[in-house]
Amino acid sequence: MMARPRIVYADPREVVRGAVVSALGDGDDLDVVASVDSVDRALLQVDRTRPDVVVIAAIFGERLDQVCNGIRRLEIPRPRILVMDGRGSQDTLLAAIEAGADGYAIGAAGLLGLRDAVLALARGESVVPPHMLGPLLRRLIDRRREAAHAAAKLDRLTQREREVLRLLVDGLDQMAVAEELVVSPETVRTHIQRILRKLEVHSRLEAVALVGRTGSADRLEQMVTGRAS
Amino acid sequence: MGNGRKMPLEVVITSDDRLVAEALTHVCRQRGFIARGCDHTDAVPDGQPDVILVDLTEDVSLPSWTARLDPRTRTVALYSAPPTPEQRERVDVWLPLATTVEILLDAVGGAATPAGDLSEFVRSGSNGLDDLTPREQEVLVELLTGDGDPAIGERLGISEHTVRTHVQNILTKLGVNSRAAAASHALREGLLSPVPGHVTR
Repeated sequence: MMARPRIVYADPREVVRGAVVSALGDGDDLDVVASVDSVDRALLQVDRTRPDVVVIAAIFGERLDQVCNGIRRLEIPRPRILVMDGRGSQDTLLAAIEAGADGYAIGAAGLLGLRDAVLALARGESVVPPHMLGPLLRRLIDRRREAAHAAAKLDRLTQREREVLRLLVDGLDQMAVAEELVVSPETVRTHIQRILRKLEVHSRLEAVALVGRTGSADRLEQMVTGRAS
Repeated sequence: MGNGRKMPLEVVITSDDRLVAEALTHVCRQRGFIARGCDHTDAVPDGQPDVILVDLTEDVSLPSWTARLDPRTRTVALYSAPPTPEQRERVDVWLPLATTVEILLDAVGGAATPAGDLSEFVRSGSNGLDDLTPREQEVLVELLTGDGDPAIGERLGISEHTVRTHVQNILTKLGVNSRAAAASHALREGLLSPVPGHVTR
C-alpha cells in the first residue's frame, strides 16, 4: 500500500488556503506538510519537505511559470504539480499545462474533486477535467500545426531575409537593421516586403508576432547563426 | 426563546467557487456551527440562519437576496476589492482575504451576538492600501509585473530614481521589508487580481 501522499499547498488567499488545508487535512488519506502564501515560500518548502504533490492556486497567474520552473530547478525528486483554479478557464488550463503542471482541478469539483485530483497525481496519473480535455487537445494541436506552418514559411526565406527578420524580432527598426547589416534602408525595405509576402502577413508587427506566437524565434536564430558560423 | 439566539449558530455560506464554499462550511462545522453552503444565485436560503457568510472575492457582487434577509440575520463578507457603498450598507462585517480562519470564525460567532462588538473586526478590514497615494498604488500594481525600476519608470513616465522613492514609501506604509512582500500583500488585498491564464508569450 502506498504511503499517504505529502502535499505542499500554495495560495496567496490566507483565509481560503487555511480553510481548504484544514478540510484536506481532516481526512486520513493525505498529509499537508506545508501551507504557503507566496512563490518564494512555496519553493523553499518544496525544497525542504520534498512533497509528492504541490498544489498551486491559479490566482498566482503569470507566476505559475515561476513556481513550475523553480520547482524543476530544485535538486530533489520532482513532485507532481496540480494547478487549482476556482473558476476554471480554457486559457488558464493551457497556461498551466504549458508551465509544466501535471494536473488541473477546478473549484466546481469541490473538496472531493480536489482530493481525488491530488491522490490521482500522487499515483502518477495526469488530471484534467474531462469536459475541458477536448478543447485543450484541439488548442494544443492547433498550436503545433501553426508552428509547423510557420516553420515551412521560414524555410521559404533567403538567408538575408532571415537575418532581417531576426533583427526585427529583436526590436530593431528599418534604419537600425540597415546599419547593422551595412546596407541601405531601401534595401532593407525591399527585404521586408518580400518577408511579409512569404510569411503571408500584412505588417512587420504581424511578422514578429507570428515568430513569437509559434515559438519560432529559436529556430530562426539557429537558421541564421547555424549557417553563419 | 424571545429574540435570544438559538444555539448552535446556524450559518449559510455562499460563494461562486464551490471549493471555497465547501472549505468554509467545513471549518464552520469544526467550530460547532450548523453550516451549509448555498448557491450564490439561489433565492433567499430556507429557514432563518443567524449569519450569512458571503464570498465577495473575484469581483462577485452581493447576491440580490441579501436585500430581503430577515433583519436579524447578520452578514459577514469576504472581500478582495473595496466594497461599493450599497454593499457596505448590506454587510455587517467586512473581512479581507488576508484574514485568518480563526478571525473569520470569531467574526461569524461575534456577528450573531446582538451585543457583539463588531468594530474590532471592521477595523481588521483596513488593509493598509488606503494609506497609499494614488501614485504609490500605481507603482505597487507595477511591482506585481516583476519588472525592474527602469521599465516601471518608463511606463509611468517617471524616473527610475522616483520609482525607487515611491517603492521605499510603499514598503514603509505597508510595514513590509521587501518588494515581494509588498506585491504579495497587494495581491492578497485584491488590489490587483492577476488574470489567470494570461499568457504573455
